[in-house]
Amino acid sequence: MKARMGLLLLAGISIVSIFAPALAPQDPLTLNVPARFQPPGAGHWLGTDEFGRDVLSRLLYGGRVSLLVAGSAVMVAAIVGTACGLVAGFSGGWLDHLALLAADVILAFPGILLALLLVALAGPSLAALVVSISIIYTPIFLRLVRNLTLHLREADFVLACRLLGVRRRIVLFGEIFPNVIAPVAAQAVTCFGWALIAETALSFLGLGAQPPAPSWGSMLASARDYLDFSASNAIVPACAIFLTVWAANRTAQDLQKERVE
Amino acid sequence: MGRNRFWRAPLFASMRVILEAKALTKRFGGLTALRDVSLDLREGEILGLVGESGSGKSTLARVLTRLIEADSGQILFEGTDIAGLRESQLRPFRRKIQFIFQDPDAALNPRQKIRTTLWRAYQAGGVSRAKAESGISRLLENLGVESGILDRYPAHLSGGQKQRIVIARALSTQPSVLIADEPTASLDASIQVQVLNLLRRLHRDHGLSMIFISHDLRAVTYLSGRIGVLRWGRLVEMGERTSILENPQHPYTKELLKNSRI
Amino acid sequence: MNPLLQIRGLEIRFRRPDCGRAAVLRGVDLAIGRGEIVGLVGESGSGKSQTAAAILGLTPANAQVTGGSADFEGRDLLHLSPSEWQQIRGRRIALVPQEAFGALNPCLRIGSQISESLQAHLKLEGREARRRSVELLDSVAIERADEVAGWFPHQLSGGMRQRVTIAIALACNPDLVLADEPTTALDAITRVQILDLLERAVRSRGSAMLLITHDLTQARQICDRVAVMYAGQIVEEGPVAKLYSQPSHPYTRGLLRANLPLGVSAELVSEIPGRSPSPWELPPGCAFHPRCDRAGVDCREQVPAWAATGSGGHRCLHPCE
Repeated sequence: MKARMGLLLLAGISIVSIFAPALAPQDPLTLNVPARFQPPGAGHWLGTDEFGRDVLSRLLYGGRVSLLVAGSAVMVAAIVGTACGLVAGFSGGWLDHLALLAADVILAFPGILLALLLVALAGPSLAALVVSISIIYTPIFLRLVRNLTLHLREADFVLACRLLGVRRRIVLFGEIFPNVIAPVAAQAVTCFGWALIAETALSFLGLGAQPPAPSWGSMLASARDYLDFSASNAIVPACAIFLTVWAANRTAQDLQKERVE
Repeated sequence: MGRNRFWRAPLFASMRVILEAKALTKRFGGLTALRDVSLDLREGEILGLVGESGSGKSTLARVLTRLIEADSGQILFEGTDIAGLRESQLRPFRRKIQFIFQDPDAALNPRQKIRTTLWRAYQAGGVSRAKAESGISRLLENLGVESGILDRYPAHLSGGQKQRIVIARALSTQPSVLIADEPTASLDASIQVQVLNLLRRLHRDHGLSMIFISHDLRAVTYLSGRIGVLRWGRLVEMGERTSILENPQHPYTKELLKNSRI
Repeated sequence: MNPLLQIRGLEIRFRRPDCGRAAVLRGVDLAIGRGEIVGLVGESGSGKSQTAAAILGLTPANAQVTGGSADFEGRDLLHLSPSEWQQIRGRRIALVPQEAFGALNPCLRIGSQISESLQAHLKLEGREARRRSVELLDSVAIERADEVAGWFPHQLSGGMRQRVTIAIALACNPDLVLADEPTTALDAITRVQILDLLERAVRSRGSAMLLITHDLTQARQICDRVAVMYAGQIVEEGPVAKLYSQPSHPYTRGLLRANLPLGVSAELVSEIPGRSPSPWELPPGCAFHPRCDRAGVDCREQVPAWAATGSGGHRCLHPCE
């Protein structure tokens, strides 16, 4: 039980977010200005924001967006990075050089800045968020998989396949790829935490989900302006972000430990 | 039960040379792993190569199968020099010369069921799934492995079972030459005997020509008809089993013999 | 005579996530007298490594001691606190590990690694500790010991590294040395030398030694007594002369027969059919009976009890004559 705390929490948060429409007590968009800045209480479990909207509902719907964006970005980065890493590591030569060059160029930029640039160019939208965040993290997967592939290429069981005359394509996808899945999954979970922070940062800056749609980052941003009126409106999304990232990191740690055992 | 009698190899070994190495040399940076090594493997015989770590025996095994490229020298398989061939030209020869690895844990894909591992050979040979299945079950029967392990992963097999699978995979292409690089080194003493006896039987049943490489002189003499002694990349002595044992010439051979008599 | 180490009824259970719990050690009794060299012979899965780990208090986290005692000079090794272990490990009980390379710190010079132990346990001063280190390296037949003391582990050959681990183990003159397959990673020629050295070093100090190995012939080389393990139990034990000439247990006999001769023989060396059962698939009754040519119906029904015979004993319902 203890060993799975991270995973359980992560799963819990994800499920709750996915079922936001069913679980949210109220419509996150309904304005009710007279009831603004209510403290957490009976009608609104987490209070109301500056427009009188139910914070809990906004939190749930906002989580949906944040988790969706972070999750999609990581998946795209993992898929593209793994594919390129496999080919680069296996083929070697100029393909490898090219892939590493591309990875190095992307890594040379400070992550969020690059995402900022890309979204600013493309215009704020969820799709732009997903694409730009995934671009920042693709090199990590590319390098991880490329190094693993280089290593596995020399493993005895791969050499055995060469001796059997197995086709290169099958060696790469049938023999090497299955051994790369576990490390990639562990890396993906860690990346998820980072991607979530990236998403909330961009939303905080107004480049993510556009108002009135809720997202944890934008909730944090607007709460900042009204801290005098309601501290909880800032604390709540902050805690949500913190807990989710912690859960992701913890899950990644547990995955690592299991692999060692 | 009684005692088993077997005919001494190389009873029916012909004088036809099936695999020949000529002046093989291999360097790794500043280290010379193989120095001008020449030997010949006759059809149907078991040639034993004994050497300690650093003797170059593993390098030689891998060079002969073109897993590593030699710096210079020739490798003649049934008369054709395969040392200089490109990968694409090598394909027809690949399946005829097979290899048994030392460490069964490294030689089997940990993320793959045994069934798939054994199937790969047939897949590469373009054999239908059905034919492959029957081929695999015959192999397992031949090697004394229960068919239940086909659906397991290597981690759930014992050392002896894993090594049998490694051998099964090597045999699935019906090779004419089998090179075994320390096949029993990572096994317990009593399982070593099982695997050695198995190799003897396979050699007899399939008419394989084998090169058996080990640091254990007793294992080498148990299986081989002729024995070669490797030291620091050089073949220092080569001869019939009896003459090596009873009349060793090189001082290193004598030292090895002395240390094996416990 | 009070034995130095007396293990009684040691039981250890292991838990694997997919297979559940099973007993890896099922009631092990072993006694080691002062200055005695005892061999613990067993194949992989027999439990010999777990026994060694228990003696050193290094039972892994997913294993649990569920019974028995290990009495060492009045203390039960199975129930010591970490601070008590500090005083025993390295000082009274020492380990010569299987793989020297993993056991030595790659970033420390050889001399420092030996001095570490001397300073921690014997409270020797820096210069004195260094002098002792060089002496110890010399005693394990390392030439130019003072020079070698300044080297790093990767500069030494496998054989030399193993000598260093022996030197470290013997640095504080322990009462008991545990040698866990000390020659597995070495060449044939080096093996003989290291084993020889180990015996001389241990005997000259009057220490006792438990040699753990899967090679019965190796145990014969230096041991006074040998205990044979199978499937978590000791199935036979006795003085070397008797065990090797007149084994009682069919497994011991099988192991002795599965020995490659050095020489040209026309016969097949007999093998023990099948393989050792894992703790999760133990057969009923005697664990060896499915592979035994002397097994009777009773062997399937009861686990054979220990039958003491003069200087040793065995666990078999149909022992060999």
